[in-house]
Amino acid sequence: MEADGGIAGLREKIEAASAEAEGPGGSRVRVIGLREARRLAREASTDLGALEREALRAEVLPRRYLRNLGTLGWEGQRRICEAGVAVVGLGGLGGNVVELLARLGVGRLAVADGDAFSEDNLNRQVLSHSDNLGHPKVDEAVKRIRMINPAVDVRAEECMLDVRGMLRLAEGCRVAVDALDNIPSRLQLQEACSLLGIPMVHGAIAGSAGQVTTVFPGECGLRLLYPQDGDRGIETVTGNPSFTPALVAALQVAEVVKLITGNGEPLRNRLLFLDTDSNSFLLTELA
Amino acid sequence: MADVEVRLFAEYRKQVGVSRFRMEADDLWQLMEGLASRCGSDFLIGAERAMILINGRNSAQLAGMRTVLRDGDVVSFFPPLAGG
Repeated sequence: MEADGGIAGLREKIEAASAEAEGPGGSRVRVIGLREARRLAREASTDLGALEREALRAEVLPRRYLRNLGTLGWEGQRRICEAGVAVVGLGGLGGNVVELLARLGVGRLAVADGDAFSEDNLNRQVLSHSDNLGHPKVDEAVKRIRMINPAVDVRAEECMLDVRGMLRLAEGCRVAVDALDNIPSRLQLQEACSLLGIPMVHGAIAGSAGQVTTVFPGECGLRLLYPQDGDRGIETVTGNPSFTPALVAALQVAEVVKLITGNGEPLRNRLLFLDTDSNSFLLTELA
Repeated sequence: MADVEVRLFAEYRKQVGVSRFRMEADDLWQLMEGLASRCGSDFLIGAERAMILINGRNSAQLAGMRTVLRDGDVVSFFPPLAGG
């Protein structure tokens, strides 16, 4: 995250451009709209993200976050807007993850995928559509993130990363999201996160089943989920419908929010295993 | 032999058609052999790669396939999921 220095003088202008709005429980909240924030950022030759962070420090809420406030609180929203998150893999899980993180207002997203969209992605990968088949997934992710929330600083790598590449991508990030589609790469990301000293939020799907856990540096984590070598799981048999990646991605984003804000209980040393067919959500110890 | 409860999740449950049943075995390896014989040779796709919990504890952190079973143990099988 770049330092937000040099724009402290903006605070009065931000306050002057703010208006009152109804916040959680009917409370009154000072807000600044996107148009005013963009104008002030342009006048101060700074980026929109830095301006919004300055607004939050002055207890002026970017209006887009009004419905976040009751759940995240001021401090939570500030932390989200100051945090960097790496998302590795931009398929069924990753597409949903970046969409939700951008809407939450994550300050910086570092995303990577070496693949391009194909027709058999259309049933579940929200970044794909009929007119972008053949386009690199990272390009479509960057476009989508910027369209949703131009305050997010996006960095993208169009390649399948090795551990070194993952280290480069996630450096400076608060947390990394494992949205990959094969076991060796997932284990590499766990290794990279451990080296960086950051937690990794794992999610995986197959058919109507999914799983989520958060691995902290040095923990066994995925070694317990995948005790034997192998590239793939039973998704090679079940395929993946549209609803499972959306469900698991949402749970991964909830984990990211807990880790960044410090509120709630992350799934540390615990696995949430779900199966929509049997309506089962099982929380089990992993350590 | 120990009388244990077997619990199957996701694709395993669908393959066998039930989510839990009782079996007898001395250890995890014998239980796996019994499962293959009871449920057919194609039972448990890649069962050797399943995550297996015994009373909620991961078998990889116990004695793996040599883990001794006791009466009343609950042995849960989770298929490997790796899709993204």
